[in-house]
Amino acid sequence: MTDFELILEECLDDLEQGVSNVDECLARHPNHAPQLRPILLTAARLEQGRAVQPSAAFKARARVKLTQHMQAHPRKRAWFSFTWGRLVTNLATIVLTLLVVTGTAYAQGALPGDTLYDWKLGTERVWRAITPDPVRTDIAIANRRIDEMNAVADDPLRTAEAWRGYQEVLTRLQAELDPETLKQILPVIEIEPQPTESSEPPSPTPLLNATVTPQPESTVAPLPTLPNIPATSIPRIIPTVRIQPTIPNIIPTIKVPPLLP
Amino acid sequence: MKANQTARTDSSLPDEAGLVRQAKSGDSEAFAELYDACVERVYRYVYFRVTDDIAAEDLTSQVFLKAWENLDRYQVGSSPILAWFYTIARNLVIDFYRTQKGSVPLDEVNALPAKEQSPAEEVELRFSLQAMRDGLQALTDDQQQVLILKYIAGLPNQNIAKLMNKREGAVRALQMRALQTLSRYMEEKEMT
Repeated sequence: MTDFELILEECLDDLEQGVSNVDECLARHPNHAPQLRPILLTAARLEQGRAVQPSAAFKARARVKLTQHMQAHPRKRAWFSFTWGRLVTNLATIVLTLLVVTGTAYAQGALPGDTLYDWKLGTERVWRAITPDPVRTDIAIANRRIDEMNAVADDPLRTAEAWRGYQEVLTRLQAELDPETLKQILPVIEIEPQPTESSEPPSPTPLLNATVTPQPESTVAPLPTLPNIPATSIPRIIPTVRIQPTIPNIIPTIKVPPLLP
Repeated sequence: MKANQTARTDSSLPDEAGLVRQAKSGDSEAFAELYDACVERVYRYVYFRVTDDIAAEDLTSQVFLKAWENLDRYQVGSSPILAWFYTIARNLVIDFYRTQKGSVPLDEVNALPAKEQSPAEEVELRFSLQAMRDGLQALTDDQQQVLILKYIAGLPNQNIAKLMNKREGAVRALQMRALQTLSRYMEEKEMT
């Protein structure tokens, strides 16, 4: 700002606040008075504009017109106010959140064939997508599938579904078993290669070190004939992974006999 | 001639929020109260934005009709309702100049208020304000806006800045430039 602009601003402020009038401002700044005078007078004249008022006739006429317009175009009465609307929205959000949270928690106990089983698989996909350690997550998921197979051992169809899920996890884990990953997980797991030269397909020993508890033949329901499980989906190297005790609930008890002859 | 001392310069109304909420829910009486409280200030704003008194009345009337129709767009508490009325008025004035080819000459209008004035004072005021009104038309839209809101509507710079979506410093600078331009115009007008 130039000196003149600063003085002008000061004088305009003084006029606005009633601290001084135009003549007093000009007297304080005689050097700038010729320039200041017309501007300050213009500002003062502008304020005279506050005297302008519409005629009473116009105000009445416009009010009637407005009233007629409002009657012709009534506003829809909101059934609830904005505040109530916000409250209802917030409550709905809370209820929805609670439903999702409790539903997700409840779904974790779902078994193949249950209504919430797909939800369970969906949450596992989310879990795996956001986890910083996909291998450990996949191991946990594999354990879940084993638990499910145990739980639905008497239902061939449901067992098959759990088995397919288990195979998917195995495939993923195989893909992740590169040297770099192995370096990371070796402190956690221990792999003992099994011979694969056998002409018979390897038994679907869980990747995890499952403690198999043989059941009497008569009490075990026959397992389904698994549909076209490609040989490639069966790990060529079937490691026995022994999860260290730091990972709880990872050593399930398998009640099922070998799935393949 | 003294300026009308009763002119309200603040932009708040008693229980404005309550009235707006009622109006929003369809209460025409509540909106009519807002009209009563604001019509003079809106008229004064429009009066200095156009050179035609009939247009000033017509546009003022339209401001409230439009406001009623679009009341859902106004958020209670975001700014005074009067500021929203000024915004509608400004848009209507801009539309008016876009569509209007000509206007009624100033000497054909008779819309000046006069309270407790002698005839000579009233004539003097009429000429002064007409010259001012004419001079304002020579300014840019923003310059007119800052001068009318500041000196005629009496809004503080903070509110003007918010209304115009500008910084307060920019509004001050705009006001000073507008005043200088208007004063030069007035000087030239008086000289001729």
